[in-house]
Amino acid sequence: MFRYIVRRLLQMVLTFFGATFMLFALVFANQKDPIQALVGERPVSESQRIALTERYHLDEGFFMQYWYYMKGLFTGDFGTSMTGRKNWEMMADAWPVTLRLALIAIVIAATFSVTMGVYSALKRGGVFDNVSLFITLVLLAMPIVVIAPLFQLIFGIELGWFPPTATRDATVWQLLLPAIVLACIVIAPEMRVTRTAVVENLRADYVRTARAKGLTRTRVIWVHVLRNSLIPVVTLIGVDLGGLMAGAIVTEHVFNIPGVGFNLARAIKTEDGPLVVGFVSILVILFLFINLLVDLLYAALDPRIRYE
Amino acid sequence: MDVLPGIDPRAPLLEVSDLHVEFRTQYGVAKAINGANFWLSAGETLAILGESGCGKSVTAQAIMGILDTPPGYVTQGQIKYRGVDLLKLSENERRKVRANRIAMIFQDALSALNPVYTVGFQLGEVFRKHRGMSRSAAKQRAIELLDQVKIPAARTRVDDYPHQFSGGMRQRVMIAMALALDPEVLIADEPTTALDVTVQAQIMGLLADLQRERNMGLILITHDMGVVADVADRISVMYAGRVVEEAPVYDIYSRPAHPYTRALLESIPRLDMKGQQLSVIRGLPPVLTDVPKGCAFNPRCAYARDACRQDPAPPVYQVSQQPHRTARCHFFREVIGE
Repeated sequence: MFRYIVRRLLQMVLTFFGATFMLFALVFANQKDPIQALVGERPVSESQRIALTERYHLDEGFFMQYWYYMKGLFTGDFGTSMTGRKNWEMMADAWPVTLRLALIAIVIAATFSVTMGVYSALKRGGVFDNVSLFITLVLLAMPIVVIAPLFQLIFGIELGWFPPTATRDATVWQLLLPAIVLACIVIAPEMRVTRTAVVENLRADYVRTARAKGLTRTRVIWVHVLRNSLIPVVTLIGVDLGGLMAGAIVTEHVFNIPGVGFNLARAIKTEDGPLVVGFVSILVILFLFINLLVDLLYAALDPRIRYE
Repeated sequence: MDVLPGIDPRAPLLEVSDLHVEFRTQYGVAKAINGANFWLSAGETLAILGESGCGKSVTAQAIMGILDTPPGYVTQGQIKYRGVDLLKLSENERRKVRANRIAMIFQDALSALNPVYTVGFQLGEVFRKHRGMSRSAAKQRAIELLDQVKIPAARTRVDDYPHQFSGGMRQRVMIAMALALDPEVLIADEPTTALDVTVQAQIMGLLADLQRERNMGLILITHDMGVVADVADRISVMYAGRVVEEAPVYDIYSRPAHPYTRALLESIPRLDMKGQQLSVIRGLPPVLTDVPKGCAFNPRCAYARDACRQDPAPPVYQVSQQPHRTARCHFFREVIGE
């Protein structure tokens, strides 16, 4: 187990360098005139241009820039945004908001998809099963750029059930509607996987044994069947977390939430290379760690899986 | 233990009469059991013998009340335990009969045990849910049970998962689980089919010992005539959902009264028949959605005549009083007399 974790961590280091290198290359290739993008429509004087070029090493080659960036990263310096603010400051503001949003979304998605998936499986072919299949398919077919403004309009503005936008401190209540929007993109597959897994497990021999032991139906389903059915669902939830981060870019933009997605969208628009790389680097690390966590959880759920 | 209303300690331990079970599938209604009759007394071993698909496992599941419904339905008949018709009980009363009074072990212990819980958890669960024991007390009882079924180092093995046990040890765990609450009836559905021959003998020996100690009624479902000859007192031979012959084990082996039993016995390979052609039963068992008219065995039967091909199916004929034996064949005298 220990050796497995060490090996995974070493693999993560390689993945991290590969990912950030590619990212850096993409951002670098995309830069036309970052100084002009920074100041907007106003003219830039020659002396300002020289000073900024100096500060951001814009005249040096791609590899040198990557080298400077990595050197900074490992000495605790995440670099400076083109806006002049320290990157880590902006991240310290944005990350907690997005993490909270993603966490609420995951909790909503997991609760809904597992309970509805189990219920669908028990009543397969019934009204609930078919209606939920239809609704989840509709949600699955709608991209988040459609769902987000639609929900904002219906539930935030027309019905007024939820606040339509978030303020700077982004309370849980303000994040609820955007979290539901985010959850919508993962509920459909999670629920279908739960349903399939439960249907499959209900036919298993150990279910017959559990019934022969005189256990109640509730216990057979929620203790024996569910634990086995959750194995594929947990994996999916872990993978979905990456999808949620991507979805957060649109959702945060629509709901005006000052999180990672919001900042990232702005950074991409203003060709703010250091900021994009800073945010995405953390995103990469987070994603890698979640994946490791999911794999470890997998072993905890299924004792037949042992890592060495 | 909860007391079942109407229970009569002097009534027969288990009595199945005219049991009908059908499976309603999209391809039609499969009549899995078409009037099964048998009984079981305390301390006795009844073997239910038959080919795959003849309804022996379904019979066991119907007695336990663990048929998958839908598609399986008990449509007719009685299953009396000490005079109480189990089919008339509520689901909750029925549930308490399981494990407490009638328990069951299954063919493949690896798939029959839940892979994600330790055997200690699965054994202890029976005590916790039926006897309201604490987790630690239940675990203690689980260790004792593992000891009783002769699993070495029970104290450490109790925390292992099913996949960490060998096939024979897993079946011992199943047996321990079934016997946890001292049931009066144990149904063993092909308990040794998935095991190799030496382990088979050990498991059958263990079952026989435990049965003798507890004076338990044992229903042994099998297609293995060798196992039956060793341990059974009486045999019920099933074909296409009916008990076609029922007799004490010695009588059935020496003088079968039904052509199907006879054909089964003749198809056992024997050492003294070396070099000769092995006799087989021609044809295939009937498809349960389309059972032949009259006697279901008639298309494969050497004795079949016109009477056998017409409904109704042969009734239960009394072959002899002492010992009690029955057969569902119009020509049982001819079969037995040869």
